[in-house]
Amino acid sequence: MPEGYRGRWPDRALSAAAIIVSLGALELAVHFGSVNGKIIPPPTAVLQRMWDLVSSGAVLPPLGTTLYLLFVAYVCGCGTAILLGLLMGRFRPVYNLLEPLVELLRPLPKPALLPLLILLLGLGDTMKLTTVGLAVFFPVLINAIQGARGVDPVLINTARTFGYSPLAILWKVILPAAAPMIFVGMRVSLALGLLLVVLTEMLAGTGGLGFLIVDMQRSFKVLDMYAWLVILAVLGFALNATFVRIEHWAIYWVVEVQ
Amino acid sequence: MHRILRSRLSGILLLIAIFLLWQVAATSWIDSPSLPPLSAVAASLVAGFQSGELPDAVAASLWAMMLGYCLGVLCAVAVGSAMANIRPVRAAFDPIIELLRPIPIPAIVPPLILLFGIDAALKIFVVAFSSFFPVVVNTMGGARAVDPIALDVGRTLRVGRLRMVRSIIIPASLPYILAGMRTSLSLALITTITAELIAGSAGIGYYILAMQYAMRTSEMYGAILLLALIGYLLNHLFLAGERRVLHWYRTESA
Amino acid sequence: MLEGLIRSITFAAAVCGVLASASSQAQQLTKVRVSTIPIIDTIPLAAAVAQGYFKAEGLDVDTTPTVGGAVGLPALAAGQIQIGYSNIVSIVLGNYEGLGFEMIAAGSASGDAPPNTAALFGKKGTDIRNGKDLEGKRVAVNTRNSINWLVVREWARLMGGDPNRINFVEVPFPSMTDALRTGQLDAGFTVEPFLSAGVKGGVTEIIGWPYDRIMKRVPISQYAATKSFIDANPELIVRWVRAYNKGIDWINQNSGSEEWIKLVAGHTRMTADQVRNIALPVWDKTVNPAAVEKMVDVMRMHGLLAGDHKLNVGSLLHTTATTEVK
Repeated sequence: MPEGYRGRWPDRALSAAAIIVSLGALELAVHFGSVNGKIIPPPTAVLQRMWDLVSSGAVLPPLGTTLYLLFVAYVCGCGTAILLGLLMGRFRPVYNLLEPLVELLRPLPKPALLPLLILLLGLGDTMKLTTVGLAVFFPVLINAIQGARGVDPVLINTARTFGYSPLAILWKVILPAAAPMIFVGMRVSLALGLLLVVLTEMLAGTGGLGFLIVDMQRSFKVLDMYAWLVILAVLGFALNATFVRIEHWAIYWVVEVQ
Repeated sequence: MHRILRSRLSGILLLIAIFLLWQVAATSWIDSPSLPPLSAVAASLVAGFQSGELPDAVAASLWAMMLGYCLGVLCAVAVGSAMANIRPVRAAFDPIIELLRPIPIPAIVPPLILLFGIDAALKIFVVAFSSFFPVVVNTMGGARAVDPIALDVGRTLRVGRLRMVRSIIIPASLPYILAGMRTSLSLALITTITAELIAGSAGIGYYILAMQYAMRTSEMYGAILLLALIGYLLNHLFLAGERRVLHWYRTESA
Repeated sequence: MLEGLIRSITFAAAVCGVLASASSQAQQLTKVRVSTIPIIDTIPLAAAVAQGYFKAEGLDVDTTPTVGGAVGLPALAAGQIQIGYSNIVSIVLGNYEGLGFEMIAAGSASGDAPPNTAALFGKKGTDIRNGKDLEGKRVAVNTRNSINWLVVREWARLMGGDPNRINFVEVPFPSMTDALRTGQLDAGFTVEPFLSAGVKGGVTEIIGWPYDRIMKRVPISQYAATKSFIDANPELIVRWVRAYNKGIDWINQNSGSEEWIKLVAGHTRMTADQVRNIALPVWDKTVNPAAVEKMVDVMRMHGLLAGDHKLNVGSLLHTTATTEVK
């Protein structure tokens, strides 16, 4: 069991060394032919290609397409899920009515809906937003329900004594109290939403990072494929890091207000 | 059981109403291939099972998924335990994990096709990859959850290393590991379908895709309902198993 | 008791193992995995399997269906599949990028005159007539960087338009007719049976025949294997192509017969009626090197071979593809 993280410097060095050694080993393996460079290009070549894509600005249009789809679907999906989740968590009759339906739809892997939605809704933005929105919806919904249920009844009763309307209670008491739980769900939904955005772009391609990865694979432009993959990985990493920062800020603010 | 059913009565009625509405609408006033009647969907499911096409697809998906899942979970528990207990291991693996974890799964499939092909090997690797991360994170969290006092007591009583792992560390971290495994299980199903949609030559995902190309919507709806059922069963089986394991360990360590 | 159980299971497994190896020894068939697409173009392969031609050559051919050729070739590169069916553009691209693909047999080719097996079509009443009209429009192809995409671009160029101003959209073949009807697309390049079905249903009309405009007998698709596999198994390739060519003969000789229709319908999942009404591709037993050269030139012209090294067209064709294997 690590007793605290003493001596950060040696650990940091070890971490950096681990990455450098792995990439270096791969570079050497390709160089000396034990790995087929046409199928796994050397890391230096991938980085070079990435740099070309970024510096020439070619990275911006697909990045924009992917982010737009994710952002819109994420906001809409989370919004509706939080609203519905709070209602379901707070009002028993609503919960009883909708819960079996939710339980039926929840275990379905949302990617399975993609071919059907393509057939029904075509290939436009409606289909894409619906697909991603559906995937984002459920984790947040479940957590919002749980969060709303877990609110200390004392808080609710106190608010009621102060004459808060049911709506005000929902907004001012339950939502902040359930917020930590909701954020946990939103984090899962972020990853799931990005997964579906990339998958949708791959299957219904008109643009975006997912489409490019598949397009490059089909043209056997392996170097480009890996370059776009790393760009997408960086995007995923950045999105996650941003989310954690926003989460800390929001929770902190919520705790302060309380 | 009856209590639960009675409280969800309105919800169950809603489901029945939706299904009835679907059947009536599809057979009378909506005449579109987009909404086949429920009876047609059921018929396609029966036909699929009789011809053996659906059982083959289900078997292909589940077999690859379970293999990948077990592989990913075992690696994750091993690596996670090592990371929790040996600091250099943690320092070395942590950045690699943090960099690989946020990669969306569909993105790694096209490069891996060039390495593994389009069959079970690809699916097993991809599922193992996605199953790894939730469990490794939870294993480390679980190790942290072990009561240091219990460990000290064990050390004072000169309890053997193996016995300590069995009686103190595992029961404390088990709930966390199992929670991670539960997340990984639903993620494994999602990953399997995803891999099949991108690279498929067998499995339920490929079946749905092939039906899309043939524009057979009844079969698509049927496969989706079947998939929802499978997901539901997997989750419930896991929960039941989880409860039993935790119960057994609790009585064991006591 | 447990010990006894384990022992009996091991014994049973050993017996099964011996029996299995004995039976495969007796059959002496070499396993070959071939990726294919369930479309009419690959029907000679299905015929060769159904008629037992491969077995007669000592080959146990295992066909792996995929929804598109672009899925099979990467598996070929990974070594999981030994022979892959694909359109010419993907094979050339793979060879160009150093993956060692070589054509070993001819797939399908377009005919000497329309109707071809695929065409450019639009909504009924469309006013698109030539390449210039396509500029700025949304045109559907099933995958970009494929032969379909390429021939539409070349048709547009030959018909007086600028292909770079066409907005290409990837749409699966079955969804194209509907997308045209609802106005999501302005035109599309599609194959049978969707082509005939859309026209017959009065929803779409044919704008042009890109294959015919480019040349007679466009070599649309071929079967490919990797150079390393061919070098290691030259004789197996010859046997495979010989059996496959017999399949071509059977298809050409029995065209239109009930048995033929049944085979096609089962292979492509079309109905027997649809099968009777569609235009057919041409199946030759060799690939014409000059035709391949021309297609490579077209590819270069449209920027598909954009790297700085030249493509050696000779490296694309194995002898079994250019000289008929009897």
